[in-house]
Amino acid sequence: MIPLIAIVQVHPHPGRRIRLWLPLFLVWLLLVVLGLVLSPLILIACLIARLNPFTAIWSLIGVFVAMAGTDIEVEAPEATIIVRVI
Amino acid sequence: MDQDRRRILDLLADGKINADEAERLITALGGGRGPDAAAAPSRRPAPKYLRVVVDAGAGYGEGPAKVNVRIPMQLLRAGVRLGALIPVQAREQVNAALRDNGIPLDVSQIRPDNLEALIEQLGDFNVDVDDGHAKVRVFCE
Repeated sequence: MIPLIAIVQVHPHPGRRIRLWLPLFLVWLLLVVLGLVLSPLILIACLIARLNPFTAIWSLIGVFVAMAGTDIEVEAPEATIIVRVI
Repeated sequence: MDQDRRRILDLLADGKINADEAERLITALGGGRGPDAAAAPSRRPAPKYLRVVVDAGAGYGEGPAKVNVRIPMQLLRAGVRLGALIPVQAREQVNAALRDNGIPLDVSQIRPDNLEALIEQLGDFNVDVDDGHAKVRVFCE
């Protein structure tokens, strides 16, 4: 399943906790538009690198899709940072 | 089959054979767990996440720190598929760099089907390092 939301929490010690809910579905929409605009360049790059452009794009999409469930927590004396991809 | 088993149990009760012999005879009759049951390894579900947990004490860097990372195995699979897109020249450079560092690995040989076998075995994978100041654990769940 495509990750739809990323939660980023930053808690400086001392300081106020900042919690951000990033709607990734908007990022995907932007990436789709960007990909369409840049498609000629992507095609040329794939031709130069002798890669199948469809395989390349599909593999990249696979990496983005597989990010769901990633969880990173870093706790240091200065701050605690949590990144979750849902 | 039941008569044979009863005879074995009678022999055991009479003290003519001991428990080990009785067990062996019953197994030979197919009354035990059976060779298939004994040979079949217990199937564990494939791990879903790779976890890296670091707990560094005050002796490290500027202070105590904890890191807890959970990476989906799916991302590993996707990464391997992406690795197949590495241009040949770059792949040779990566192989050479790995060889120089004592890792004779050909990255072109890492394929999704090979990775599945690796991931299945990762269920038992557990790295636990404790040097007194910091603890590092790498495992799959």
